[in-house]
Amino acid sequence: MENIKMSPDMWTPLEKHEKDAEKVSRQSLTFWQDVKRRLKENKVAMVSLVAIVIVILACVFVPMFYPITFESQILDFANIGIMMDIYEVDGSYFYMNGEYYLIDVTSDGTLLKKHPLVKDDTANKRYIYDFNGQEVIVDYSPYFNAKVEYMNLEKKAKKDPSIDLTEAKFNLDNAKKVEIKAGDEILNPVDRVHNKTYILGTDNLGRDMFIRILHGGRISLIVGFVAAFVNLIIGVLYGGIAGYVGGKADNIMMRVVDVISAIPTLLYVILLMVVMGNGMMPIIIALSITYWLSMARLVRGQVLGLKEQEFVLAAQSLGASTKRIMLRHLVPNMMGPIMVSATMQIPSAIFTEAFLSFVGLGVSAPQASWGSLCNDALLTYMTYPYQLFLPALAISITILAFNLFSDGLRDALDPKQRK
Amino acid sequence: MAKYIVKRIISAIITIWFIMTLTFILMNSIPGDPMSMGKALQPEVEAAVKAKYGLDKPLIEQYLTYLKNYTHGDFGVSFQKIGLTTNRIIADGFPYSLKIGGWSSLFIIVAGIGSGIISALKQNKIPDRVMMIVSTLGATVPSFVFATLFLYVFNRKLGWVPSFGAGTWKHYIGPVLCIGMFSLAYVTRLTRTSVLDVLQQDYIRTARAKGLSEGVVIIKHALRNALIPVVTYLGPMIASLITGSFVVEKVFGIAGIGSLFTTSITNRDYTLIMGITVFFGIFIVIATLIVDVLYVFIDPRIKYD
Amino acid sequence: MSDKLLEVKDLRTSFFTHLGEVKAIRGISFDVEKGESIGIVGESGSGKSVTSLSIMKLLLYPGKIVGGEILFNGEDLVNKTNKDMMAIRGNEIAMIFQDPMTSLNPVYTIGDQIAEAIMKHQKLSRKEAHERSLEMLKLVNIPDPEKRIHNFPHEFSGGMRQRAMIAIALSCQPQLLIADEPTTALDVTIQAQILDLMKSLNAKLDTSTMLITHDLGVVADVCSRVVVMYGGLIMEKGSIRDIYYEPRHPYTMGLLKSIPKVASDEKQRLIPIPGTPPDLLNPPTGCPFYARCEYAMRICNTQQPPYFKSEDGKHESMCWLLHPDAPKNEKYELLKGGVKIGK
Repeated sequence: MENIKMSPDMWTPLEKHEKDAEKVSRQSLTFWQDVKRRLKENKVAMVSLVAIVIVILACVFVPMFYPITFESQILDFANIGIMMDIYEVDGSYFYMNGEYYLIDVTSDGTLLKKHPLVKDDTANKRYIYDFNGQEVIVDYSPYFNAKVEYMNLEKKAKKDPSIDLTEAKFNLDNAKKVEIKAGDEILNPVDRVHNKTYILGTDNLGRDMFIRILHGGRISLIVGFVAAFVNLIIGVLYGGIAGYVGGKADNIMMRVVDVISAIPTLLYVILLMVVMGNGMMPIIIALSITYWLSMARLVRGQVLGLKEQEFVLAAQSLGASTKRIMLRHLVPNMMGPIMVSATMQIPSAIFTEAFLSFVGLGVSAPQASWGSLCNDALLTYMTYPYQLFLPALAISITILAFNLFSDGLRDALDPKQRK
Repeated sequence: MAKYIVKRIISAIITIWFIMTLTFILMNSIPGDPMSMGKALQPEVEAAVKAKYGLDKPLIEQYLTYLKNYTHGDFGVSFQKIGLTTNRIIADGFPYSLKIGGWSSLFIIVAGIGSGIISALKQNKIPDRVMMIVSTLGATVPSFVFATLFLYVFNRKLGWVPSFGAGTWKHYIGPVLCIGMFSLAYVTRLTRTSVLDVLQQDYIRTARAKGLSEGVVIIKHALRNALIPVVTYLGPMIASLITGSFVVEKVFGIAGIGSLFTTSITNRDYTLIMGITVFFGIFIVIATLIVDVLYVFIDPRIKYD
Repeated sequence: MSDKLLEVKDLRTSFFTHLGEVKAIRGISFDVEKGESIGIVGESGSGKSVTSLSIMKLLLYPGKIVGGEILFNGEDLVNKTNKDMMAIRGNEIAMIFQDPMTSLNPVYTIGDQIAEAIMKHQKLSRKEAHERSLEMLKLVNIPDPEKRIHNFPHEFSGGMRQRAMIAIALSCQPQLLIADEPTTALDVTIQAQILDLMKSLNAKLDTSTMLITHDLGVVADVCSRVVVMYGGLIMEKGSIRDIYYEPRHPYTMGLLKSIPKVASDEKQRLIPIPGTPPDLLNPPTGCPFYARCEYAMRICNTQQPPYFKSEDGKHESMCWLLHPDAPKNEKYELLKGGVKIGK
């Protein structure tokens, strides 16, 4: 006590304003402002939102301006990948496709046309071409012969175990698949360029992968949004009514939901698709009338919970009508979880559509959805992996973005985290 | 408790009846004669089949015959694979799917719960972050992408794994992993959330206040509660494995029920579609029933209504 | 050798959050003697719960004891490892919590949960531990204990659950029982029963009790001494008589004034203490109560007052008004003679 320097004015009473007793340190925000703020701070969710917007914009607008349509096919250009190894002969450049045919290209990767065959020498397993007088031979015999030899030996070895296959196998594994010769000179690729005409390559009918993926995106996104929207409406109506009415009606309605949801929804969708056939409308219808179950449960739960809360009671005691209660009081409070659920329906629908197309129940040719693109590529994806993995990547990224965004939305709406 | 079980059984029976009826209605609402889709049968055979399954009788009668047959285990005859009953076809394909599903379930439970627990205990540290990213991918990337990617890397590029069929154990690695990917991711996240939630509870504080060691607190008190929600996922997990099988069996070339189902769809073999759908329905309903009964023994709080 | 069971000396505890260091306890000192029961009174945020968790070393991340000593039977608990503490918790110092519904594990029977503590600390067999559990249930007056021992928590009522908690806590005959708001979540009638139970057990088992509450009425019933906390510091401490009949701190007076008087013919307004508790992220430099004190002086928000003691040293209060140079405030002087509870 002795250390404290006392001066007489220490004892003067404090004025009210000096006490800032009721000071509130942060400005208070409304619920939705708080939600928006939290969402904006969530970097992952924001990045996902940007990704979603980019995907939507790309799928909607790019096909409008792009020179190549999703249906146009040039069989000569089938199964060409994103990167091409190009060869050069006398100033002309060419690319060799998977069937060993030669295609004229420019040095920077634009496809011109299939180079006319001079002779298809099947007996000797080679193709003969002419480039400005220079003879070019595409010889695919080495591997072919080695394979035939191996297979014959293999057959013999089945009857005579003493025959040793190792040397033949070695030859086979090391045989050159194809050899290109201009005169006596063996040609090797001079450069590796991007495919400029088809930036993501072509499929087995010579259609542009890039535009087909974007077009597929349109279908997948439309299915996703429309189905999610219809599910939302049905679910909110069904669940809202069940919850608000309560009692026996609610009981029956929920029992029905229980019985239906005991079976995986996908099974219903498949059955419906079998009945309705392929196409975009059938998919949308099938998804719309089956996926509302979880939304209905959610809404009913929300309504039941909110019904009991005091503010509904307060509104009722003030004489508010039922409609007013539902619109002004119940709905705004339910919006949060409903929005999250709806946002999660979209990737679910996209996934289901892809799944359906993959098992052959989706849109029909020449329409392309992401799932059907994957399905088409299934037969040849070991040789042409890009045809499968590019649409697969598109699906994965889109679904991931939606899921991350809806996660972020859920976190932003969770009042327990109100800091 | 017995009352609860009886109620669940009744509910299960109603569901099975419902799926049978729905399938019947849907398959019979397709225009055209189902028999005309298949190969032509000899007239006597066709007449015999028609008589047995009442195909020339009015729909209601057909329905009742159908119900009768099904409850006696007769799922009809395939119109595409002449001479084979649906039962036989299912019996041929089921063992493969069961094997894959069984191993996958084991894998999901062990790996999923394990990584969920580790994730929760090391919250926000590196193991947790890694597992969260992996499980996010697992939950969003479609199973056919996994399956094809798996084959591409491990068969085409590395040659470690055969590309189709179901002979050796190596054939099973791919299917078991891919079919369970989504469920594994879900179980990991579910376990993690559940453990984190339970660790916040007051009774954990009480347990510590009793002087119990942290190990006992976590294993005896926390996990016992945290795993309850995970058990409720087992039913949906089985459903997920079944739907996953459609794709995975197709990609890996396994002649299990999943691929039979997809082929029957492509071929529009309606009786087979019906038979397999009802089979799936029954399987799932019984599995869910078993899980529900199991749940009663795990959570003493359950209200029997 | 002192008779003191527990000596808390200048204890400081903070929570290191991402917003900064929240100084929950800023230097408190008090004692508990063998066999006595003291009450720690304060609002939410005063630091009273954190005090009990600090003593039990049950603070969860990001909480940490940053200074001071906690002497239990002469040994400093602050430096003890978690392993050492495990032998003390439930055994020599036991704790019961506010919400008995959530404080009991829903998947184990009551009997199991009592026996668990017994088996851990007293090395009895399962059978013996269950017999002890039965005895404990009888001790806390649970009806039909042979049946009830096999019940699950959700089959007990709120009051019964809290009795079960007490049974668990006292099963190993601890020297000190810390009760953190044990009756706050219960009805008033049940509250009275639980308090009576605690009082009788206190006497029967010779256990010291540290009762934490915001309710002065509860304290008066059970405790012999009171510690009043606010803003992470002790405002006043003394015997029941000191606090209730000769309060010296304006906060204590405010608390006494705000207790509603039930049996009164006149209609009266409730008198709350206006304002909100201080922000412990940036605690005030002076007395934490200055912002809500009607007698606050300039010195109050610049310098933290020292403790002014009564003649026998047992009644202390931290308030500048007790300084010999402080001006006399009429209202304050009046209240010094005791606040008629409710007036």
